[in-house]
Amino acid sequence: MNLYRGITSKLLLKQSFSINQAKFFSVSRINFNSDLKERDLDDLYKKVVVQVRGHDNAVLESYKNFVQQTSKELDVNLNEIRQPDRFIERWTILKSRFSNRKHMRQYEMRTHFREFEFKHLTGSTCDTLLEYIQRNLPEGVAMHVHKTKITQLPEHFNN
Amino acid sequence: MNTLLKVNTLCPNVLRPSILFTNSIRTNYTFNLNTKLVKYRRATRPKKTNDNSISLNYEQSQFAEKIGVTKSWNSWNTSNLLEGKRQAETSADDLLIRKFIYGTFHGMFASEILIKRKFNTINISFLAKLPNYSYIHKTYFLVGYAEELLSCLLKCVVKINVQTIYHKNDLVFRTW
Amino acid sequence: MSLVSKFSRAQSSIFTINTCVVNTFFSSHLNTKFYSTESAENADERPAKKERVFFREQDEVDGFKVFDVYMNKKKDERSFDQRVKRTYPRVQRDRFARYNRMPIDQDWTNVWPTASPFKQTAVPLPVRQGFVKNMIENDGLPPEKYANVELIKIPNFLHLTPPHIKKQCGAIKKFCTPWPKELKTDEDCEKNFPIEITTSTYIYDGPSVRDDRARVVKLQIKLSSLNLDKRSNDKLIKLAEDRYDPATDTLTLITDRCPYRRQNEDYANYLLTTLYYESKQCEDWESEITEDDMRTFEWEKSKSKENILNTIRNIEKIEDETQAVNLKQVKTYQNNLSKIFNEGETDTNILQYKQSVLNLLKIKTA
Repeated sequence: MNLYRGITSKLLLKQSFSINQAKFFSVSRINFNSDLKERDLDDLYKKVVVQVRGHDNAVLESYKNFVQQTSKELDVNLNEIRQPDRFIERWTILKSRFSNRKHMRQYEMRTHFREFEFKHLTGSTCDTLLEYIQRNLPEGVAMHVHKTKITQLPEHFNN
Repeated sequence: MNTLLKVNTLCPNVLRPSILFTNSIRTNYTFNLNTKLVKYRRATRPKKTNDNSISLNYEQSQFAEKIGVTKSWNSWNTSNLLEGKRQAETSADDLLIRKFIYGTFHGMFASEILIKRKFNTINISFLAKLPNYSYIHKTYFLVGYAEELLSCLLKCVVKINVQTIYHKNDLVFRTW
Repeated sequence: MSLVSKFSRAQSSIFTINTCVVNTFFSSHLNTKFYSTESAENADERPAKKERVFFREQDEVDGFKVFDVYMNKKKDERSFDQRVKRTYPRVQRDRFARYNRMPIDQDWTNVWPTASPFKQTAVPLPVRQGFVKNMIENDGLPPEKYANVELIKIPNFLHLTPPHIKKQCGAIKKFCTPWPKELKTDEDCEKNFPIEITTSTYIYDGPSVRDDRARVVKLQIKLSSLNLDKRSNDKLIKLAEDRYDPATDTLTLITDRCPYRRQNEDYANYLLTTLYYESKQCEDWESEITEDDMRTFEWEKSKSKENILNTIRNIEKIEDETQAVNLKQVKTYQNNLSKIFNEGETDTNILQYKQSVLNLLKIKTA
């Protein structure tokens, strides 16, 4: 979670955006004493894929409803909601500590998935949305976030 | 590791000790309460009596094969998911928490300890039956003490929620 | 007294009678217990105490009375309540609960502002949780929320109800910026912003925020946006080996050799720059490239051209190379042969090639 970066970039972002002025800047150290000209510009995210993993399907369903409502309220383009196949990790091990090979025990751990694909987010929208969603992640649920940022070629490329 | 505590209820007319408090999994293979046991019917299943004198609460009446079906897990964390991290550490921490809290709130338990992890916070909840009214102040002290020590030990933010019930007989779900 | 508790008590009294009928082993015995006093004068009295009986039927069967050892050790016909001896009636508890004092039109966002464990006194819903198989279990009713551990176990979303989401999203909406209108389609994005950098974050429980997998950076770019000439393009593709996907014309660079994500990003950019400039630079020995090493089939440099020129010289008697090359049949032959090499063999390709060969050699088909 890039909380620090998220908060600081929100403070210094331009609200209006024009393509001609966009340059490739790496959004790194924020100098509070910097000039107003060198502001951090919004990133552009073509696609943000949020995959949520949990042991319980019911919890993931409720979370899915929450994400849907959130994206509606924040006006974010939730492109697709996928449900990849569940994954079961099974252990078949001996029941007794000596002999009795024919008697074994099976344990399994099930992981269920849900995938949310957001399309066309700006950097600040993405940070806001992700922070809100991540803060309200229920217990026992993990999240993988894959963000695809689009940028221009670096300046030293002469076209 | 078997933590088997037999507790006599306050009700005098019941002759035998009525409620057994055991871990939901009595084997020594997995303490990992996120797994789902299959094909081991004798675990968590007490011996059936002729006259139905053993009372079970809801958790005890759903035997091990019902975990994930009609019984939920006691500890919720992400360590056992696909590509999860810190499985051993989380389980060991759970063990520590359970032993510690059984000791601090000794005699007050009416249910198993529930451990829920969210990022770096640990929420510990359980039902308690306080022996008498003066115990409310003592409970607050114990809660603060336990939270402080556990957060130092586990390097996480620890919160304990105690919910009280009036009588242990309220928990009885069925007799066995 | 809430409606729910009234209903449950009424139900339980009905159920006790049913359980008596179901559980008895000897229904005749039961009948004798209930209707032991049949005369009217004794009807209001309590039924007589159960006498110990050793014989199922008092009359003899074949000269013998049926003796039953377990006659007096039957299961109790008492109800579940009486057996367990609930000394604390349920009614009194509801009175002190917080949900009895909650107004109907309260703001739920103020009652349950953040995520917290399920507090049954603070939730005004008559929720029940639990699976009940038969009448023995809790009188056939799922357990109430009072003293219900199952409800505390499951993660609750009471802090994320629709009013919550509206309120909270309304507060954070000012930090969102709209997507630029000029970039509606994917093609627009690619035209103006050719590089795609994919990064990941992983969120798991634990005292540490760090995850080792988060340092991996993937950089993707379409080579058509680099504006390289053919030779440089081919050279870049040769340098990139299997990082280039010809189907989508994308070059993918996955970097994970540095410990931090920022470092990996910089390294990926550095890689791209080096590839670009290396491919632009033309070495002396590159002109010595042979037909085997060329990525695409070029007829101009191929052996096939020499052969064709020879055949043309013999058939058409044209010595001049440029004139020979500009002939129509030679051009079609060139196109069709290049198609087969570059695009693969298909039925149409081979038929066209066949036609062009026949035209070239002036063979008429029947």
